[in-house]
Amino acid sequence: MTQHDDTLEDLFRAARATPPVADDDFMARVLNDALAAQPAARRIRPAPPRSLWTRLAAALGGAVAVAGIGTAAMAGLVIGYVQPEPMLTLAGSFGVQSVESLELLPGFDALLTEDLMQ
Amino acid sequence: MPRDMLAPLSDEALLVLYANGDPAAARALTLRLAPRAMAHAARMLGDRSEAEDVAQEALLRLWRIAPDWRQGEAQVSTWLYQVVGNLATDRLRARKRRRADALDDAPEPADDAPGVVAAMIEADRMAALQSALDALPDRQRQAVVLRHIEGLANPEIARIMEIGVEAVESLTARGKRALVSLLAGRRADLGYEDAE
Repeated sequence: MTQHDDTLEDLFRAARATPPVADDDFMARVLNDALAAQPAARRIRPAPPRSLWTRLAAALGGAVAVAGIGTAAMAGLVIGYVQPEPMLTLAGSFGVQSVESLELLPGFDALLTEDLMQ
Repeated sequence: MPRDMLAPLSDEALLVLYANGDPAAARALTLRLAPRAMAHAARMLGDRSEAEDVAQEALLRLWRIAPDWRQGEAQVSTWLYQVVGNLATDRLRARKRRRADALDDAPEPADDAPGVVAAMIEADRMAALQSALDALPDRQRQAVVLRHIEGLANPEIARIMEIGVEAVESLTARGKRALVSLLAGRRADLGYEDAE
């Protein structure tokens, strides 16, 4: 029985050493199938160009941040023009009186005048 | 991607590249898997032409499921051996049905033994082994081929055949005993000196 087992093992060894060889026609058929069934390569599309406003909004923190800044700016303008009584009272408590005009760059006119005189 | 850069990649990684449309991955996978699929089918079927058809069909199924391949679930080679085994078994059953229809009587595997003996008288050792393998029941043949010719480990064979490891051990043991029996007395024909 051992000799028969050895014979079988020898045949297995020989079979492992000489596998059926795939010929070129077969390999070509399989490769053709592979290429025909292959999904098309996915192309990565470049991102569309962004407008100046989109980039500005992104720089400020997005649309929500821009909306917040816009609302605050509008509120400031309204308060400045209307000067509601509660605001004046509040400002008065800090020692600030009603403001009719505001000189943002005091002395600028003098500088201009000096330039003109030279 | 250049082919030499694909060589160290696993079958699964190549399949992902294939599904992404890399033609070099298609070539690398074909070179790697097609000969293995064909060899296994040939051992199962004992017919080269049918083996090529089965291997081509199994690989076509692989190409088609590549985009949906679930990574980490199964090895590509295990999946392929499984599909080749199933397709080959289907062919063997169809072959037996045709033979049964022709003879109006399905022969038992043992009845193939005279055919095996006749083949061995004229054939070389590989043909004799193949004839003996052909005479085994399908599942025994599949287990013996995967274990002793493809050289796979029992747990992988168990996954391929969707059975337990003990069932694999049982199938290979019975298959080997049957092969020894089929080849008994033919040692001299096969060029082995009988010292018994």
